[in-house]
Amino acid sequence: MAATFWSSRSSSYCDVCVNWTSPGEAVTKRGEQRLADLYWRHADDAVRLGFLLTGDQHSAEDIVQDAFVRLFGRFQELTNPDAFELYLRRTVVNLSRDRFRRLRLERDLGAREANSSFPQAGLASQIEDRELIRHALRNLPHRQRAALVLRFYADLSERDTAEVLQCSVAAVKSLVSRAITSLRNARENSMRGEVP
Amino acid sequence: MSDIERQIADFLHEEANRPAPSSGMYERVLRRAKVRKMVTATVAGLAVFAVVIAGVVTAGTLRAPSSIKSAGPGASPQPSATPPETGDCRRTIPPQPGFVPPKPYPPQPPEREKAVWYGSAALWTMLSPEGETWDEFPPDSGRFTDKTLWWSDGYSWTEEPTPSIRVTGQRLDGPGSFEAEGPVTNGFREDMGSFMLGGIEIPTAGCWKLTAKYRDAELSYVVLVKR
Repeated sequence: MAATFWSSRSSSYCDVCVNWTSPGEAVTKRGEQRLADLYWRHADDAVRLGFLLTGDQHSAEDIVQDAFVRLFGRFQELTNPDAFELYLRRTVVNLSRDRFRRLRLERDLGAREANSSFPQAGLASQIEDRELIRHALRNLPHRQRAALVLRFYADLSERDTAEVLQCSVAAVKSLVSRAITSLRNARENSMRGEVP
Repeated sequence: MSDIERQIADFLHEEANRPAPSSGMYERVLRRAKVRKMVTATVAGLAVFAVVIAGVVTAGTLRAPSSIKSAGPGASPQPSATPPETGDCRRTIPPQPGFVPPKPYPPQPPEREKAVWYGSAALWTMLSPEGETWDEFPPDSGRFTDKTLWWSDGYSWTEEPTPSIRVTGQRLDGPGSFEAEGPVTNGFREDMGSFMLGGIEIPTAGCWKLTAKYRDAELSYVVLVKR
């Protein structure tokens, strides 16, 4: 007869299975370990992406939490671990869309204050230029903004951007082109002293 | 890259240069993920329960009441409904509510197992309410090994440390069979009582009927084994 051991991890006596973990516990622990690995690898970047899409740190963190929770149940289905980043980005972009709309509505309510703080002509310093870009970016439609962020921040190719946004490469080109035109117009209007 | 594109890229990178996510965010994610998983499992369990009830009601309306027999001690309950995602494998769906073992055993398995008791007082085990699908195996081994747990009224882990239970498997969707090798060990948990724990190695993936024989009792269930 084998010796009997007490396993504090499983709170059980067991002769030959010192580290025995019940099947239910094992699956749960493996799932949690996978979640932890993916979280520490991707959460930071995902929050930055969420921030650039919403312009709000708290919203970004909420969105990333939601994204991980949504994807948690699908980890088992991922045959290619590299695909997780794509799913996470896509989920963050989709979740930020709703948040973006709400924030934009709030901004519209405070439009008067926003307009009064818009950079005026003649103030061509770097700070004003940054404010101009920030303001113009916030006023872009969500998909245009997402396309810019994915292309110029995440450094994704047009094809990868199209995968995240679930559209064609031509649509990405169009979104980026329209976004840049909007930013260019905003800058020219600012140079002329026109408030957008 | 044009000037304005470079300007946008610089702006975005500067904007993104922010502190890491607040501490405690991972704990919140984990907590919410667990709650979501529990809710999903509960909903799935209720759905299976509804399907089983609907099946029982339908069977009751189609058959005479005398055709429904209750399983006595030592009997092997038969597989019932087949969830659609399992193809042709008719996994054993335990009746709901599950078998209630005699005292001092708990009326249900511990909640963490997300399972119900299945069998009779002579021999029982625990099964997922949706049927057993095994797709988590030790990495890199290439083997389908798992532990099976069995209970029997009167079995004592201290008096019978290597119980004389025999576990065999018969593949239902192709050729194949096995018999568990090596001694079955004893086990005890406060919330499970005395049980028998037998390691098995299933030769291939597929639809398998596992059968345990202990003393005069026999119990079978069907499990889907996947890579």
